[in-house]
Amino acid sequence: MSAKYGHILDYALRGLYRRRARNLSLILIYAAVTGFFASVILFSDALRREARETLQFAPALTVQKLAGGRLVPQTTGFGDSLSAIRGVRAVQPRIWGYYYDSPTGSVFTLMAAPGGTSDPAFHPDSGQIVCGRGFMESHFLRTGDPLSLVLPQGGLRTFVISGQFEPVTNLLSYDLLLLHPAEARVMLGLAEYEVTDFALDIPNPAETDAIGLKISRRFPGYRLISRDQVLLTYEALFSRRGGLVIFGGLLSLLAFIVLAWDRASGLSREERRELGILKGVGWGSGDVLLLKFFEALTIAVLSSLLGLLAALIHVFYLGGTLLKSLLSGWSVLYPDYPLNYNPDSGSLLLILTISVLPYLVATLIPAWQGAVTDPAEIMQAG
Amino acid sequence: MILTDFHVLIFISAELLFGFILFRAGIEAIRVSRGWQPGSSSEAQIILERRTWLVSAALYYLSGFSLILLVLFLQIINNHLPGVIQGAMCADGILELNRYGYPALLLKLAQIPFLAFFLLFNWLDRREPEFPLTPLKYYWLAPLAIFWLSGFLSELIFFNQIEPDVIASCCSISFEAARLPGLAVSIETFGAVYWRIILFFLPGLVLLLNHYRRYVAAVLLSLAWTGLSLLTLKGYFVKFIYARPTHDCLYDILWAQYYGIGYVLYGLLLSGLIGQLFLLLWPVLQRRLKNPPLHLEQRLRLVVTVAQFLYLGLIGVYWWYWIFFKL
Repeated sequence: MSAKYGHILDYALRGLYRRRARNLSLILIYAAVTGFFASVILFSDALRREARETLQFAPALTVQKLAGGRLVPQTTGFGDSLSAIRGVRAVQPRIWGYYYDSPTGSVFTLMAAPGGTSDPAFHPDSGQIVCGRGFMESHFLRTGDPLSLVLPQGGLRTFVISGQFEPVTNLLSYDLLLLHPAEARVMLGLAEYEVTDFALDIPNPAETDAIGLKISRRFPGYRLISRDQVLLTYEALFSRRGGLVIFGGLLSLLAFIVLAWDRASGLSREERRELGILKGVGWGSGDVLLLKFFEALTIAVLSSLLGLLAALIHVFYLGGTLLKSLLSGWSVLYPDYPLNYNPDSGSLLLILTISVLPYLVATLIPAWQGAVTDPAEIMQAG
Repeated sequence: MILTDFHVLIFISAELLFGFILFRAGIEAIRVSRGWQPGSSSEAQIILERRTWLVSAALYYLSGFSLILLVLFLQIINNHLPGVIQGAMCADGILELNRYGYPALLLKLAQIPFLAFFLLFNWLDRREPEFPLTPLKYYWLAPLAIFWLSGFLSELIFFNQIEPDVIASCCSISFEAARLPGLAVSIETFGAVYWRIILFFLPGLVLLLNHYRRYVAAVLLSLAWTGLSLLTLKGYFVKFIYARPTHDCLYDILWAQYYGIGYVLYGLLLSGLIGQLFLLLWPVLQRRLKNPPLHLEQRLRLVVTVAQFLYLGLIGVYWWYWIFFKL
């Protein structure tokens, strides 16, 4: 019995090879459709993974003060009240804000060097600045160059660029300008005793929600942002954006199914003759159906693999150029970040589902129509 | 509302394809059932015979698709959505998010036996030139269509009602109170003391009942054994797979880090049950066939026994490994 299947499969492969010119165009179109869907799936999943890996270094809880729904500065003394809460190991005051750069029309993130790190690259002295690659490249600057920034009250302040961030941190640092805390306060218009917000270090993640609840009850009017919340928001955001792109692409899939159906229905004179001969020499309808199934499966698997390969190159080698603006967000500056190659079995199963299944469905009824045709009828017509 | 998530969107699209083929096959099956005239060589009968090929091919396709869709559904609720929903760590937390979760999973699982029955009936039917099981075999399509439609609607409502900002409960809460219904003893204690006797004894009894063709009793015993297997797996054996005495989850064993052993274990339980149910139908079918396959009954008995003992062997290997080598 298995030998029979083997012979039919062998015949199907030979038949496909004989009609290779006709099948090649179909395989190429099919691979392009699969490649599009596979790119969206791989790119969205890679972004979600990147967000997860990047955010593991984010503070467990961030406390921000709101007035009229907008973020306002807080006094440094408030940090003492937060550190007194049981379960909080450390409270890190943060000074940060945005800097609008009129020559490029971009908004950069301006931040004071964080405490607690001994790396000199993160500790610019007064009069120095460390820049992200996005800023350096958009202004054609190099380390050691002078840089003048516009103060909030008017006038310019000049810094010396003491370093730039490494490309591996692009996702976080591409638009970042790092200053000495005193300089950052001046640039952001903050008083000497003011900070933007507080980052809380909570060693036991299970206590984060309870601590957040305690803070919100004790200090109403403060906004609490937990790492888990941010992570879930990113997960949902990338999944939703991927969904919207896939939703748009479903029409192209439908068009392809119609094309494949139409193509499979329109048997050429030679194919009809072949079917007639096969049935004439004793092939049953079941054998012909199996032959057509093997042909469809071979085309589907081959095209899906080609599409998957194209998607892997597009996403992990070319950085998802065609989809980046759709899926990762919109901004004047796009960070050039590498995506780690790590597609999981779930993504591959999704690609298989959206590529192989529709083609098998599209060719089922035409295959049956061919299989049940009367051989005498075919031979007389041919 | 999580219907815009691309994992869910692709799954729902694939379900629609499944529904399309089932609908088309169903229409052809109704046409065949209404006009079927066994023994007739009229043109109408020949046309109907040609239509049977489409139904058969469609159902073969659907069988493959249903397995792919089941794995995809499990992957979405067990791997993907726990990353999107706060508090959920596996499929249990996700399925508990609203009351349509578990019905969606169970209705999906319920379709598999009907597809298996159709394939076996179809195979027997095609072996004989008179097609003795046509249109009887098409009756399986009715429950299949009902289960698919209600399952599909449950899935739609289930995914549509999921709110990503609503916190799910972790499976540890659902499973910590796992007890045998009606018994004041935890499954852990029960499993530790009696599992070797009960779990090995029952398949032996099933083997004996099958040998003497007491299929009704064997089906009831197999159902009881399958239920007991799931309960003891949850309360006792699964700890040895995770190598963590406090972890009782029935879904994490589907993860790649445990080599997807859950698919094998659940697959064995399901195939044992399907084989046993088919044995129950066999005496009725045998009477309708002129030339029944000689060894089918023995092979089905073998499937049941191998599935049940292989399941026991696999969980036994985990248990044995920890008890004798690690503890």
